[in-house]
Amino acid sequence: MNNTAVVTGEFNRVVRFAWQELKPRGKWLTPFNVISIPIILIGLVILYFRFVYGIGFVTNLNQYYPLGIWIGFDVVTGVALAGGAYVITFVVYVMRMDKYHSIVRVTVLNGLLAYVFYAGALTLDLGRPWHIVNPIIGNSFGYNSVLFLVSWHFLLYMLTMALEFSPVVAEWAQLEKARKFLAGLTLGAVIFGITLSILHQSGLGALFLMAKPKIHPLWYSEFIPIMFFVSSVYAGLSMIIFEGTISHKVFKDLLGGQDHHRYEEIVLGLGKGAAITMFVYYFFQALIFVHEQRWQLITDAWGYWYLFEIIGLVLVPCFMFAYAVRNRNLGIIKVASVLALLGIILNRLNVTVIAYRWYDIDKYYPSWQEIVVTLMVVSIEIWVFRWIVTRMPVLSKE
Amino acid sequence: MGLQVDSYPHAGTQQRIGEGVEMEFYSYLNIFETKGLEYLLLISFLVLFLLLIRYLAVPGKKD
Repeated sequence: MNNTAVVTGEFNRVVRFAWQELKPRGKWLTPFNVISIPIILIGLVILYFRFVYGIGFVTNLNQYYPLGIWIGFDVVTGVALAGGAYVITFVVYVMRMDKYHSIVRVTVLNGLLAYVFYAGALTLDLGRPWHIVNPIIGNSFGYNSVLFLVSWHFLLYMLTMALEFSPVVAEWAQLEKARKFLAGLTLGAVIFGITLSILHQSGLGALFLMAKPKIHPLWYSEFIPIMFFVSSVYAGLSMIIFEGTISHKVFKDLLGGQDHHRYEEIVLGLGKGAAITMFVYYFFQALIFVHEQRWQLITDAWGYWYLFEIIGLVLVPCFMFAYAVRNRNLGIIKVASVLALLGIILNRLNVTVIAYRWYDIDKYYPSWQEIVVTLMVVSIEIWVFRWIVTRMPVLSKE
Repeated sequence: MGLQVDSYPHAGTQQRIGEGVEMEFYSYLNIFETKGLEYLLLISFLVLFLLLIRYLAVPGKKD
């Protein structure tokens, strides 16, 4: 009875604490708020029409173009950009490179939110979203489908990242025993998460293996799963650099002076990793190009578009990363990370939208409602990220 | 596009030895058909990769 009273008292304390933390802090009239609040409100109205009148009411999707930017950007690109979580946790917990320990929490949080919001946006895109649970509950399993693997992995990886981040929540709620217990599970969760990530990053590419006749041959190859996996590594590293740059400006009050100094070394290390991975990715692309005899395909507009992606947004940022690391130039690293991110976004959109049914005259273009909902998803994610970072010990641990 | 993608080029003619075709009919000098270009690319990758690692391993002075 005494134990029950203690547990009840502790539970009430946590609820009161969480309720206090929910109250807004700081200024309301910031540029980000002014832009994002109307986007979120309009997006919610669009979603109302989407769920009441159907997906065709607000999107330009049809039987020929089932994949629009909600899948191409939110899901396929978003998951690639969230690759930093498994890369950094591998580097810190498996390779024991403690230099990067200070960015583990924020990177895992980014990854968790990316999966929850971007992969969660999948429910908006499904014609009958309540069927999303079918692969999980065993209704029409479809275990021969790559989508079966991807859906299970998304679910498991979200739970894994929630477990990896849970010590931070316990620390915030001042639950010391729970924090110690959850921290003890981290290594196992990290190893499980890395395994899941490698499989579903490549699994997303494998989804497009069945679309061979529909994807332009410059973007299709039987190695597309490997290319998706390798590119997710440098996409994640570039995203950490990009996000870290913004966080260091926006949340500078939460960081100590020592963090600023360590940050420079961390960015240089991340830039080195990105340069090496992009170099490998570029040569994979070159090998596939030669192996599949694509010489005659690069003489038209599609070829120039492909070369722009591979040379302009892979090889050039690769050299920029290498040069910047060598010369300890953070400015060039930040520019290179933006170019690398643009390259990833372009690559994923090329596979899913732009070069999909490339031979059609009547092509798919996203409606304004699709664009607003995509911006809404990104805006809400940033709101949640900001709320967590300003309250929990994400950037200011130790 | 006039090009069959995902095809596997043969390293020479498809006719077999002993079917009345002389050996010199084979063209081992065609770098595309023998996949020589792929091997060269792979070797150059390994060499360049080592150079890149060496380049990144020794940070220079700040600009």
